[in-house]
Amino acid sequence: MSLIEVSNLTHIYTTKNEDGDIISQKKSLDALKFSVEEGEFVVILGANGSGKTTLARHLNALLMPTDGSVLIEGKSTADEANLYAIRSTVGMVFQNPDNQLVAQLLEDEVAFGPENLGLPTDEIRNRVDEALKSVGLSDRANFPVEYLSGGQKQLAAIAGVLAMQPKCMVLDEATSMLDPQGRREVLHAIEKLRGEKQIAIVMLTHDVEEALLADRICVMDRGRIVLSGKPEDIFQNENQIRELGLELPQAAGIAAELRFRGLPIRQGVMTEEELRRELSCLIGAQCTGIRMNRMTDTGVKVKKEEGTREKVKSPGIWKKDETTNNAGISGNAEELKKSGKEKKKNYIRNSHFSPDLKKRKDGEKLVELNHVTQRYFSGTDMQVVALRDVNFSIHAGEFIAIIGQTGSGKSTLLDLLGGLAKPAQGTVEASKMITGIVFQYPDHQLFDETVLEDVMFGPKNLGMNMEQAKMLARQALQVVQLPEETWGRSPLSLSGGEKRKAALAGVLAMEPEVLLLDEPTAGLAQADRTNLFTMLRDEYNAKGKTVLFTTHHMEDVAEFAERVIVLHEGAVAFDGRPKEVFRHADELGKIGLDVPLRVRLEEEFPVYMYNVDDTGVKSHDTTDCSTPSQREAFNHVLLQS
Amino acid sequence: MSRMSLGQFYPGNSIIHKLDPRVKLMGLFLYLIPLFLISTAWWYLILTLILILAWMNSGVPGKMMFQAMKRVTVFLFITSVFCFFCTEGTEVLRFGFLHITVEGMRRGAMLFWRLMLAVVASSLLTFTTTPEKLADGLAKAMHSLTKIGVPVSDIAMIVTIALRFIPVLNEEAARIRKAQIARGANFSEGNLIQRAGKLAAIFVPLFVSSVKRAQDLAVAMDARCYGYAGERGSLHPLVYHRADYIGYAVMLLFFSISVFVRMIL
Repeated sequence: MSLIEVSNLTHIYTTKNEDGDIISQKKSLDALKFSVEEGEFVVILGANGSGKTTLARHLNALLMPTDGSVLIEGKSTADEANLYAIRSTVGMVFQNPDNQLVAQLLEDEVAFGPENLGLPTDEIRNRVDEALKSVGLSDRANFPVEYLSGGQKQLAAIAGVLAMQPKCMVLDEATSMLDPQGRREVLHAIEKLRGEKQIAIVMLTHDVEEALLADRICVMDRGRIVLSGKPEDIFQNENQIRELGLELPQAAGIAAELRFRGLPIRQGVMTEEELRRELSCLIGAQCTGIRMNRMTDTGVKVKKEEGTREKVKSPGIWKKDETTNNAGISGNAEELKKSGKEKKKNYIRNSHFSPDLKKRKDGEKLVELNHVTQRYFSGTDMQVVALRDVNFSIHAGEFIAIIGQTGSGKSTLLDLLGGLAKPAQGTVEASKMITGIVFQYPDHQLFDETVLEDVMFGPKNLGMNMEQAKMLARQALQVVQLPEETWGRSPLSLSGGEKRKAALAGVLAMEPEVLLLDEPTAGLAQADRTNLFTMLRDEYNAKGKTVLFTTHHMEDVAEFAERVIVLHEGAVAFDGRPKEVFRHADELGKIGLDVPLRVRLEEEFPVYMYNVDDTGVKSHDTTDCSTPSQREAFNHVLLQS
Repeated sequence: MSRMSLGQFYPGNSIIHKLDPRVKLMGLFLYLIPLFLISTAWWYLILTLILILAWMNSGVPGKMMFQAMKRVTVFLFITSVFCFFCTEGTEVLRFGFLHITVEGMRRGAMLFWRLMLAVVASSLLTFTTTPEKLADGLAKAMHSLTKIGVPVSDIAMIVTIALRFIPVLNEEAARIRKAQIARGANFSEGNLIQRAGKLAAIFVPLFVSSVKRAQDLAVAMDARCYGYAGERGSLHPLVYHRADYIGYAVMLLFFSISVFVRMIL
């Protein structure tokens, strides 16, 4: 008998009006079959709207099947008598860290489940202590949950489930609202549990990289499981994966691309290590060092400006401090603060790396920050310095990414640029009303009766009459590609993706010269991220307007941004073209930022990876990728083998 | 966060902190009754001394106490000053139709004293008891009400959740406000009605999000077996210790004396 046995499960959401008549019916699950064995780690992978969450809720008897059955250890979820037995066998961790924690103090939070079961105090105490130990939060037992980070809140939720001593834990998009640091913490905890406890894990996600951790992946589409198997088998069929609205894992995608170009990379390469091993093998087998050198000389344009790189390092900003990571970082921050002038010089040099960017700099200067410092809770012992001595300017037509760990000052910077706050020291010079901010959660701004009226809110506040406002709103809605039939609907009835578009339109309609976006891609699948940025680039940036966004997705930075500003503890650590900035993988690693896999491989295996035309614009389209000289070089490599 | 306010918890390890919340609740109750039953200066003096004694044993720094009291004192003072004018008696001063009397001043002063004692006594309770313990204590104290169908433990849970989500919603309201200001909304212009209309831009998203949170939380609580038949367990069960019994004894003694005093007066 399987731990979980789902057969022919159908779920239909029915909406009824006040008289009890059925208004609409939506089939979310369609005769789905699925099972989980004890101790197994299964990932259910699917795009938004594929029915993942509905399935998750069935596993915990939070929903009743419309048809078919869900058996947990042989007990049916349809039988109310089994309810609590099932809920203590299968635990759930939900998406939003804030909305699933009940108590004020961490240990009371973890105790909530066992308390509900009416267990004796000693037993509750043991379970709480053990659960907190499992997720590594023992030292925070008496900490208010409100002050935990997002990742720690999810760990608290996991501990809350563990305290129930379940046989299976279901995680429903549990990492999608977290920053990379929080995600790492949660995934690490899951990996650890898998090693230590005999507990089955069912993880629902739209993130293919996370899916690679599983023993088995089930791909969901339109309420059915359409593919099921080991990770390496699932991602064999690239076209099928894309049709399902998913992407290949990064390493697998690059491997496929290289294979397409004719490099003998074996099938089934999924992870970074595997791909790296393959590439190293190629070098070992095909070219000796001498040949490599010759090739670099003859053809491939390797953009490795060693000289510049050395210069950047020389002012001693990123002194290698290997002792302890944290101490090293704060030490660096101190140095950053002190070496004000040196630093400034250095960044200017940094940002003048490329002729392309220099050309942009000649464009009209729109916003200028001079020695901007921002503090919160000044004068109390809780004082936080959010920004320290920040200097840079924004020019017309730039596409800028701002990156940095949570707490590095990104949001504070956006508030200042958006005119929502004044700096404690220094100046932010900008012409009036030229910036518009789009915040992360569309739900924080949508309120009016219809989508169109909501989008008109901004223009009307600018003093425009109804006709003008309506015209701008229509234009903006067309730009974000929100279908016209939704314009008359309530913004609250839109889907998550549509809400994001409506919120974006609400700011675009105000025609800002500089569009500021606060983590516009948080929680989005890669395909949606690419769509959003392509739209911003083609419909907005291409018309000479400036886009500035914060993000945790380094791939977006590498692919779309022309300039990246790295913040660390409130100071600008780097400012330059993504390509150049990402060369400093070690320094970025120290401040908790990853360099995208593609960029790392380009650095390490330039001969195979480089795919750059002479203008410096990278193309991922494999069909017309390389310049003649590059193609020649690749052929050359192949000939050597 | 940076300033103490009324109703806030001040972490500590004093005798008062350690007392069972039920004892403290009962204590407050038995303190307030005599305070409002007897109104002579020497009686207030005794009550003030008792309160000072309790406060000195609570470990709450005077600075905290005064800071928390500041605003409330102003409010109480204004209330008391009304008495100056509204009491008939020997006239001291006169502004037009307003007149201050000796009796009025006396009554005002007594009222101020009484209210201050009540507020300080209550805040001593909240300073030394976490909101959860307080809710728990109330639930236990009112346990007998479950017999007549009052869902006492559910009410205690509601209080706990409300306390947990106040800061969350506070922060969210601030974010929504910011998002709308970024779209050019101006919440400080216009007359009262116009302003109220504009607030829809804040309240609608806040309301929608609160409902969503409530739904999410309800599902999360269900998933963790909330509502399981039978008595809930507790990680920190309320158990009386020796100090608690002594506390009850002292209180009863005090209360008996005050009833006696009231009868002979």
